[in-house]
Amino acid sequence: MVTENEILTILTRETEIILAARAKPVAADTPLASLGFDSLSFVELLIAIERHFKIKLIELGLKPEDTRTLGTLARCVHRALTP
Amino acid sequence: MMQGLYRSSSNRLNCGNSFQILFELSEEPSWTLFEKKWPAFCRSVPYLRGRPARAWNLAPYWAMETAPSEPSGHVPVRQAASKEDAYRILDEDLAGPFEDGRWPVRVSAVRTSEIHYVSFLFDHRLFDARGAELFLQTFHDFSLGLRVQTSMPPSLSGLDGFDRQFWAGKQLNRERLALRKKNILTLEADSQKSRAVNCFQQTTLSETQTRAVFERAEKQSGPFMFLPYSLAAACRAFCPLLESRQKIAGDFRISVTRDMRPDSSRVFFNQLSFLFFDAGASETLDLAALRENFKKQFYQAIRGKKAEILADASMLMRILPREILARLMERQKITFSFAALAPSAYAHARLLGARIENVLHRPRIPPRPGAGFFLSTYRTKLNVVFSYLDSLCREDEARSTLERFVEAL
Repeated sequence: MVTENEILTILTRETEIILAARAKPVAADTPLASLGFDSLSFVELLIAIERHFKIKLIELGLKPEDTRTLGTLARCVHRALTP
Repeated sequence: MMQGLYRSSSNRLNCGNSFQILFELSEEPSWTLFEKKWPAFCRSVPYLRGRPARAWNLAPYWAMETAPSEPSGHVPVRQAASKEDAYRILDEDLAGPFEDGRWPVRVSAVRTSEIHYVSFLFDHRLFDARGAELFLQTFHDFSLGLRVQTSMPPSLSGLDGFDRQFWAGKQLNRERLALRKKNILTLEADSQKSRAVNCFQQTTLSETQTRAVFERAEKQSGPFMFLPYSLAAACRAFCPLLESRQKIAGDFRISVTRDMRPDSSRVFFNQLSFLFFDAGASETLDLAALRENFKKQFYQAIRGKKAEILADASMLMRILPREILARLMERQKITFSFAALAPSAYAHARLLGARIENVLHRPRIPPRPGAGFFLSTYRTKLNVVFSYLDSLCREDEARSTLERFVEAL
């Protein structure tokens, strides 16, 4: 079973790839909007999550509090993966 | 608050190939500074002096001018009696030719007793809205005497790899042919009008109204899902227009522009792509279901790399002769165009020393679909623009459409 920290590491790496030069230094507690995410790049991150963890968060129903930061998103993914 | 602003006359081929970045300033900008810096700035941007060309009538390339002309730094400022009058002048100006037929940017200005308007008209073959704003931001830095980067390697311009672009164009054409079987709902042009005039209805929401719209979008559609949210609202607003022409059974097909720019350092060159969204006309009755439908389509389109294929194909816009481009667009079956731009890339609070009140994005709409909704944000305010051809829609209908759109947001 993948840990929340491992999920966060993967999300951080994917964010750096998706946002490229647009991104400020990626930290777990930085609001996603401040990192430079928009609807297109956010969907790209959801697709990366699907690729890594085989879950479609968009269909599971994301709440605003799940997507405040990469940290909260990692927690959401971990929760979705926990049986 | 809702302004009925209308009409731009056009005697030229209108295939939606230009757009206006319009600055509303609270004071007179420094035209002396502009006159001194603008020609020098344009001269310093190498690709600005190019044009599409073909070697042996086959291989397309970007031909650089060997003895380029210089854009004028002189801008005549016209006086308007009111805001409505100012927009009438600006709308007419939108249809005029580019300077010298070559320079892909044209500047004009209008003032009232309260507001100074500075319009930059851009050729869409080279620029998109984001690129244009970044270009103007670079000009602002240049005008202050700061060192700016205005050149870039050809690989960043997207002017190479034409084989890939033609392949993508072929893929798209196949999809377009497959779509012919569908009954896509469109507004038909009034046969009495031989020449279409591009018109606008627009409004700017207050800071409080803007915040409320984004909060509703997040609550009802989910985080970072403003695009599907606002697109559903646009469909709802457009539906009565079709119904009034007895167009009830069929499908909406909406082309949505997307900025494919992965790196903000690219100051210009059109990086636009499109995503296409479909919905049955009856689906507009249930906004919540429509939003979910668009969310799924959005996800699938990005997942299937459709945006990249479209981005490659869009590069062809730069080299296709305008007559061919217009003919291709004429055959498109699209209900309306849509764009929800990210917050303005022009980060400065001033232009030529004058304080900026608002920055608007106003694109000319191609004959097909002939109507489109455009959202842009400047600082804390949301601008909502409905661009349409007067051969498809009356002014009162367009005003009601904009009002319905704002209500549904």
